[in-house]
Amino acid sequence: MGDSLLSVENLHVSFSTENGVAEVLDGVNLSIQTGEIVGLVGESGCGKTTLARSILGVLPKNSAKISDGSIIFDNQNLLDMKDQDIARDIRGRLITFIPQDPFSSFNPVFTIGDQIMDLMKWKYSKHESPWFALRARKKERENNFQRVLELLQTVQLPDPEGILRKYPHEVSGGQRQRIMIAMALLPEPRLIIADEPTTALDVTIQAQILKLLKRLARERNVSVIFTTHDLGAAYEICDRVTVMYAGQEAESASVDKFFEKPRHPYTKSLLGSLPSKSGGLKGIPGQIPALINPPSGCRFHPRCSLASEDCITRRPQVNWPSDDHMVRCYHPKIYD
Amino acid sequence: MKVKKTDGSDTILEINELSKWFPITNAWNRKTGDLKAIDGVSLAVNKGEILGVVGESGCGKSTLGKTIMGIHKPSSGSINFEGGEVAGLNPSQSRKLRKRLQYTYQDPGSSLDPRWKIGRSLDEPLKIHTDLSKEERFERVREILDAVNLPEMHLELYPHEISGGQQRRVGLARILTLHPSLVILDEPTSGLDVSVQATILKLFLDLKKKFDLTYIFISHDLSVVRMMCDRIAVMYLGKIVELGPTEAVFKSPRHPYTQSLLSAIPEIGGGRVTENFWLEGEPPDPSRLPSGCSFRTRCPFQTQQCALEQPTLVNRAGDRWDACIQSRKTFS
Amino acid sequence: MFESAKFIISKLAKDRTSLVGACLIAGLLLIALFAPLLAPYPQDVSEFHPPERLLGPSMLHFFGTDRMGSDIFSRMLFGARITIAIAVIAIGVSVLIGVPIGLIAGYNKNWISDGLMRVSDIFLAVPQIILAIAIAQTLGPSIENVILALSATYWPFWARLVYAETRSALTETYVEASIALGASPFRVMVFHVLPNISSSIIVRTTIGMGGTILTAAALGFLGLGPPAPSPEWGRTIAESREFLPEAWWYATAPGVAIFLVVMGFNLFGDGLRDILDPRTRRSHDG
Repeated sequence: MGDSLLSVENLHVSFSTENGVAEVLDGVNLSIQTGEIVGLVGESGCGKTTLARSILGVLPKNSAKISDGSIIFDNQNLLDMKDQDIARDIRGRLITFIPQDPFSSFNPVFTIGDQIMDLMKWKYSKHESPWFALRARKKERENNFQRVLELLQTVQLPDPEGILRKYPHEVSGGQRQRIMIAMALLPEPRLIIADEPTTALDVTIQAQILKLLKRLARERNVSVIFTTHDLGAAYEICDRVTVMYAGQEAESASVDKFFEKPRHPYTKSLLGSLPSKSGGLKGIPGQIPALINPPSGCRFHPRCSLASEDCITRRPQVNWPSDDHMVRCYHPKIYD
Repeated sequence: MKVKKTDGSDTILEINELSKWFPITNAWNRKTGDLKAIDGVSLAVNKGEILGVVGESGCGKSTLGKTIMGIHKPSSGSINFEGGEVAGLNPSQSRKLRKRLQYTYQDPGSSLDPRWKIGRSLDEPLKIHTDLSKEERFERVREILDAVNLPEMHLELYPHEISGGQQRRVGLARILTLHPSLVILDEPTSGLDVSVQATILKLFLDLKKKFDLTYIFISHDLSVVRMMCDRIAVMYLGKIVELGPTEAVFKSPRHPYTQSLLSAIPEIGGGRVTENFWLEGEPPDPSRLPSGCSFRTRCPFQTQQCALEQPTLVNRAGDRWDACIQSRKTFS
Repeated sequence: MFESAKFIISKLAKDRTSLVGACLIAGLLLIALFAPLLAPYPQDVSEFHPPERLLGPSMLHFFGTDRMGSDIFSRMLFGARITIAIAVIAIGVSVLIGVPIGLIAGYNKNWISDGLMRVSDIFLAVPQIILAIAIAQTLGPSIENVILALSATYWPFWARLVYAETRSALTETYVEASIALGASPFRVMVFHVLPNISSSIIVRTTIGMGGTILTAAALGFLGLGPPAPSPEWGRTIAESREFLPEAWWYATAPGVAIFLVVMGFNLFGDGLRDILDPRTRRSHDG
């Protein structure tokens, strides 16, 4: 599949909790090309947020443990790098983050302008000498300010200078998310991880934000990992969709193949449970399993109508029904 | 303006010119204005139907539900439920009424007392409203629990020990023990996973048939509303802007806001919304509404008339109502 | 409820400081309960032996003897009983007055609630010890009047606390849900609000015990407590003043006793707060 910008291979992450060890990621693979928008879709507890955090290197240190696998970004394994190196060169520089709830990512007592300018200061200021700094800083500030204003204009915020003077609670959810997108674009990253960026938004605002994110990613050739539980939103902006279930990836395909010809029974029933004018109400029987003592083999087998002996004993290998379509199921041809 | 019943069926709930204004106060507790959460809403609900109330956050749909329920006291207007006036009654006066009119919360997990076992929470409404003995009450709780497909052992669990979908079932069971006739469902699917959502929606329909219920279905999820509801009312900034049979409204929305709202729903297999979505900007601050039509600041069809005249909900054809001046011109 | 009690005990057992506090409190209770058995000279509470006055600590008299020649160690043990009686009754009365007032004022939003809160504000505006002195002085020195003075000055703390907690509990959805269901105000207050704010009340009560014991000792020291020959700790310190610094043991024993008991309640209360505080607790519930 050519050279990928990021490839996650066989990643195992476990969390220790009061009740035992939860295997939150069980051998997950994911790859993303430059400029590609990949949707990471799944229901709550499927591990999509943990995967996003592993890539960013912000898993909680005291409870999470990466036991196996690699995360190769731009030809270096992030899991082998030192924390401070990731913090200095990767996170917030080459990989940036758009959170689900932009409100809690702002400090409520400073203006939005202060917080963005602050970000520029410690990411870009290279002048150590105090003599030089005094004069240089003023000029640099001026430049930074112009850059921020330009960015706020590209994310289509009305009155960018006014917004910079406001406090986080004075702007609406949609505007905050636009500001987050601007902040994520600021260091000119190569990969943006957007964790459910439109979940908290209304449907018309969601449409605006998705439109904006897609346009900016295309213009700047930035890759995006877009986690969501909303298949509709994934359909809107993704080039490729990977669906996860209980810590395992089930299927990955180009967006058209994914929605037109799903091959994994989980994808099939997930699409089937979407409300539609024609379809009846088909949920998936049973519940999402707990990740402490999860089902053996393919974790979907207890809820799967196709489950066979193999599914219970061993997790299926990767199948490639076509070049850009990966499925991990013992019955990949069933829907042909 | 009176909204008469739309066809021959019985009207179970009729609200007229209902308003709920919240005072806005400054730092010295002086009133500086009103936030018109709902403003002159008229609506009739027919027995046995599912009426969808849709709109974006801040449009007043939840306030409408809570005001009908009596959790908020209306600022003006009337609410007629099963032939009796209920607006302005205080909780103790309306206790009888509460049996027949019920409300389910958006987050059923937080609507259950965290220190009470499920069984005790389910028993509470019966204890308040009936004189049944302990055994009779238990029998009724078990019956309802069976209807919402929950195992009996759940009675001994605490709310945080069960899943979101199960909490939703418990929330529903809690109000169904009283055999209500009208149930207001406030965002009944928010926070649920898709695979669980479908089973819960199916449960709503089953229970409706079994207990002969009428639903007011408040939701921001238009695809769910489309599947569930017979009629929908679209709200924008405290007012109903369009009202009509679901299929007709979805096929040919008349109000520009409804048009933009419907075009924002991603439709898998169809064209990408992100390619041709036209609505710009965000709703104005509800405490400082523009003059005339409150949608005019975002409306691509606005004229001078829109700023001068406050549009009202007008019957166009058959069951279709809308509140747009442009629409009136095209139909008269 | 049973499970949560087990949870609290297991958490407390892991926390060393609150364990120390719990031991000190348990020690005080045991001493008070078995004072007649533990004391070498139980009759010394009321008997005098002038020839043996002001003897230093020895194997016969662990903490020495006082100005009347009575054994200080025995008197300390019996003093614990008075301390506990004063603290428990005064706090109990304060809770019984303060909690209902706080609940009613918090639940209602009208002139009644404003009135009740203003009254408690007035009580809080006067320094506790001065108000207690005034009351005890007016009524005359006795155990009953100390309890009365302490209850009258301490109830506003509980009223304030319960008022604030009730107001925030009323914004909880489950409370609104049961009001919407038609539950009566009494039902909502007693069955929904009270159990959910009980942990704050328990913590405040535990820490309040320490403060009450301190104030009771202060009243005793000023001669407003139970009259002589009561072995009350504060009174004993007051008596010892004439004989300092030569008879150092005379003031040391009751001083250390008060110090340990107050510290015990404070440590235990802090530990309880860490466990019961809803903000730290939520993670266990979720």
